Amino acid sequence: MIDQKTAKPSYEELQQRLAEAEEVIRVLRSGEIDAIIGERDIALVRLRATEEALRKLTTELEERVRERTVQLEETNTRLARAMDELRAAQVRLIESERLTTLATLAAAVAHEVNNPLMGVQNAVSYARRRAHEDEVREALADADEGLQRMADIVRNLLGFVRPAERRTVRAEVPVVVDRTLGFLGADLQARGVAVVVEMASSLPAAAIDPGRLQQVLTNLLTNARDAVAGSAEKRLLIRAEQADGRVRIEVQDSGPGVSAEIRERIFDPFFSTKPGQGTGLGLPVSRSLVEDCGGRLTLESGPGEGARFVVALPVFGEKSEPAREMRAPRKRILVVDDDRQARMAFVYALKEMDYAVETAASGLEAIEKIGREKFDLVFLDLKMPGLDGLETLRRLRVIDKDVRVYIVTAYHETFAQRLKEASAHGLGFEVVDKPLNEERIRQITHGVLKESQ
Amino acid sequence: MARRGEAVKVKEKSQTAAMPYRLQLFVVGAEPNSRRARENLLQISEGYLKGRCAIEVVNVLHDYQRALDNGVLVAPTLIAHIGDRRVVVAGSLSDAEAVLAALQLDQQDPKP
Repeated sequence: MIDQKTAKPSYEELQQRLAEAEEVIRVLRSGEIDAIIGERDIALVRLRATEEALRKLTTELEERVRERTVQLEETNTRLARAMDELRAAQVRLIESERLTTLATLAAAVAHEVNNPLMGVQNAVSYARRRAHEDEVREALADADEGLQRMADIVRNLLGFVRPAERRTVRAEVPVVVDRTLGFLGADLQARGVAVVVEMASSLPAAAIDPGRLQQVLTNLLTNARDAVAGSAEKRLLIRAEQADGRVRIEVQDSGPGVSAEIRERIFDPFFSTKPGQGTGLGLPVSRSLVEDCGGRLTLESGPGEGARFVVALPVFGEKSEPAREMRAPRKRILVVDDDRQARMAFVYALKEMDYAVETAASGLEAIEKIGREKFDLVFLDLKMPGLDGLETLRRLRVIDKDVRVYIVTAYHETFAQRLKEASAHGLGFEVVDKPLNEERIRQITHGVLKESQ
Repeated sequence: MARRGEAVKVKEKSQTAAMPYRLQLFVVGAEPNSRRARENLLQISEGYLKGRCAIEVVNVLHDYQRALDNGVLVAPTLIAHIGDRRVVVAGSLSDAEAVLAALQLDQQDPKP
């Protein structure tokens, strides 16, 4: 299909391909598939997949993603030629969106494999502990090794989103802002969006790769552009200044702002307010790019005003040791509770502090998050539908042996026996009784996170 | 390739080309999502496309070259050829509204 026309693909054809890639991503996320179709084989997707099937699936996916990469790169070469005919600004805009889609496809595929893989790893390691015959134990050890290899492959794929090498170079913010607007300017103008830039004089360079900063700004500006689409006044403000020893870049829009409900999830992967359009990875990827070099990306505006995203970056050339200390990432806390109010209690109690608080509404969601990123402290509700707290903990320990876990319960007595057993199995946790007031939440958090420093 | 005797018939080639809607559904045997996709597509075509569409069900277990040739990455996947337009909808087609919208059947041709 792709090679039907050997001539350069038209803009419409490219759009079509992107739409189809996005459709595949959507369905991978929804899990409504039975098979992934490879060049030479078909991998059936079942949650009860055997180790062999999983191995096949992983390899298959890896190959597909590689092929897609090559294909897209070829497309890119042809595209570059075709696009000469279009206006330069338009060319660059499409290019950057294509790259995002490619990275998104890889991440989405890897992300989808990750969950069933973790389940199997879990099951195998459980069976290993219970196996009585040496032969069985050896076989399971082999299986475990294979699974670990698969997990590594998946991790590499996930790393596709950002280059593994961490480059801290200098970015002159005005130059990068200029270049970003050069790419987006024509499009913004065409949509009647006014852009105001306020740049502090004698702004120091920021310690980030300029390419990455541009990716982040492109993302924020594209979001802002979409946010003002329905507003009478379409205005974006980009402001850069030095504040608190950091380079601070604000991107503010005159759109409807972000409701409290959405605020909570806006940095979650695959969360999008633009169904069918957004990939839901723009903000999380931007955040990880910024945090990678010791910076922070936050949403500072309240509801009722337009959205204001703030990128705070370390200053380039500051003495590296203090800079490193400053770069120490915020401590991450995960709150797992099926009850929204209970989760919010933690979020409110900790929101003034310099912690990154994430929430999960179920054990599975928690496992997924822990599989994706490292946390320093987990508050885990004991009684939840589906995976309960202890089951969640058991799985969690396979992924992360060290994270501090507090099991929160109002049913201490009822579960006393199970808690004792779990403790005897070395699952490592502490128990704290519900209800927890804000003071107590802060007390525990400070205590634990100070210790771990 | 879909075998005869299945719920969905394969139209003859000459007839197929004349239909305004040519639908190809790529499935994996009787796996759950594939089964659902088949049922859902049948319902949609009964309700909205009676006499105006040719449906072909391709079982990728028997004929995955067809899937490759059509750029299908996952199954089930529906490819609709409408005139010279090509629309791809993946998954079990359970969201009828979304499928109708993709086929641009949401406003016109209400269910009789």
